[in-house]
Amino acid sequence: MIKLKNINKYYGKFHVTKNLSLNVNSGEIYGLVGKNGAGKTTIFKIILGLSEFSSGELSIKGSKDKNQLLTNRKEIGFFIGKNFFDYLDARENLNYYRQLKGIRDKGEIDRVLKIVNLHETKAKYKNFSMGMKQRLGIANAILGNPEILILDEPTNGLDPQGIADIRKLIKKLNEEYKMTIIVSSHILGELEHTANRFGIVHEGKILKEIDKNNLESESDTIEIKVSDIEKTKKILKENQIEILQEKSSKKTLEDYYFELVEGAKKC
Amino acid sequence: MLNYLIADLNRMSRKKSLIYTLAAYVGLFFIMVYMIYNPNLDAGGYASKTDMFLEFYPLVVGIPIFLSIYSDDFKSKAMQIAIGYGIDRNKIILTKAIETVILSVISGVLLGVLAIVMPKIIGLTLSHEQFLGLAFSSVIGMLKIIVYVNISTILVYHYQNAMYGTISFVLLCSGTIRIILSLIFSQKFVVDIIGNLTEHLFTTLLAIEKLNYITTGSFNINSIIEILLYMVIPVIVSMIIFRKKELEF
Repeated sequence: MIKLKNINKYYGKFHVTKNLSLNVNSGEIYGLVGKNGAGKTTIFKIILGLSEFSSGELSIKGSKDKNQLLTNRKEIGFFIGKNFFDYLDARENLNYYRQLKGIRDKGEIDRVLKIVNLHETKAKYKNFSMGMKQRLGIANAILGNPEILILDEPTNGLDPQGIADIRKLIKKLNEEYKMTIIVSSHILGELEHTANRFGIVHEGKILKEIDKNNLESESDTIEIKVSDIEKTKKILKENQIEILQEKSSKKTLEDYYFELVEGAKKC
Repeated sequence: MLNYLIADLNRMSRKKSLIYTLAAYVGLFFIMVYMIYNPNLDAGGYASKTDMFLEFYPLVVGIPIFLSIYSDDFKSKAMQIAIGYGIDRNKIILTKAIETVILSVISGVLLGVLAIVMPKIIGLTLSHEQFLGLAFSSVIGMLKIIVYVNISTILVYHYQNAMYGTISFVLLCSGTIRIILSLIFSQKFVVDIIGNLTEHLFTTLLAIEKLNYITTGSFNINSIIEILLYMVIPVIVSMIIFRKKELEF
């Protein structure tokens, strides 16, 4: 759906992205993982044409052609920061973007406001809470039912309930509306619950892309249920297998991320 | 592009400060007429006072126009959404320039009609020259807004911040930059090297063409071309500056 191949970008002498390659497949929730300043937003800006790159290839829906990219970007809804007018309410703000995007159906505003649960809000944007602002941002991103959704740190500044709401919403958009979603976060545990594929970005490079299933299979610990724990321990002991820890656990995305990043630093 | 234009114009129609400022300026015009009105007031007196009043129109009405089109957009970063949605950057700049023209023309026509109709209400008859003089003052006000906004937006697009553009617009409208340039251009060594540039200043061109038309009934085509260039060149410069500009969120 979206492919970046060997993308290099410089800010002056600063090499921001280094041969960055990324591949987002149709229908998946792709989690872009990395600390602040790793290059996540730059990747989004490159995809959206808000930032030029020095070399490499970008393709959206299979096309690399500059004019076709402009057309294909109309299939992308995105939330990067808060792009609303203080003096307008939720409906008026969305109506602005509805007109800008050339969406004729005025009912689209109510549809997306209902999805994000803001349909009863009458307040001006300047009086919105952080959670409401985030949800309105997502409502704007899904206006017109785009095929691809880009969400940059959508849970930033939210309380646990707000985070859970956004997580549920992202899954709903993927499952019910069949949207391909790219979501970034520096809260790794958060992405682990949402995405089904991950791209680990560090210092402008994608260190690795990995499926959620593969992430789990890369674990060196297993959790098994047995009928007789004591007998199992005895068998292990007879075979000179030491029990290091009794409670086994899966490798988390966080463990995996730090392993990779630390590995990259050593290299 | 048309969608963007419609969306922006709709948005601005909900911005009360723009409407209030225009209404306040019209209100001030009525107050001025009330203050100058007396049984001895003739058409010449009315025309000269109204002409002076219209001098402030680009500054007073131009600032809210400029802020509505550019400041709100850059503050909310709505332009990034438009670009991310696949609208060409040049088309965005063109759309904004068209919005400036539309809002300037609406305000200019409103004030021009008011200035011309008012004498009939207070029982004065304007001569042909006085009529043309007032009509030209409104058109000149419009043109000043368009050109000064276009020049100021170069800074807006470069810095992605409307503040520098606003300062530039105020300096242009208030005549500060014209005075500085006139001083520089009137220096003997400048005239000796480059020639008389003062006559190519935008305000000078407008004043000369206004006088030309009132006295001869025609325009100097070269001056009209120069005026058009003042409108077009800043837009092209903005396009070049904005073409590869990194957009911040």
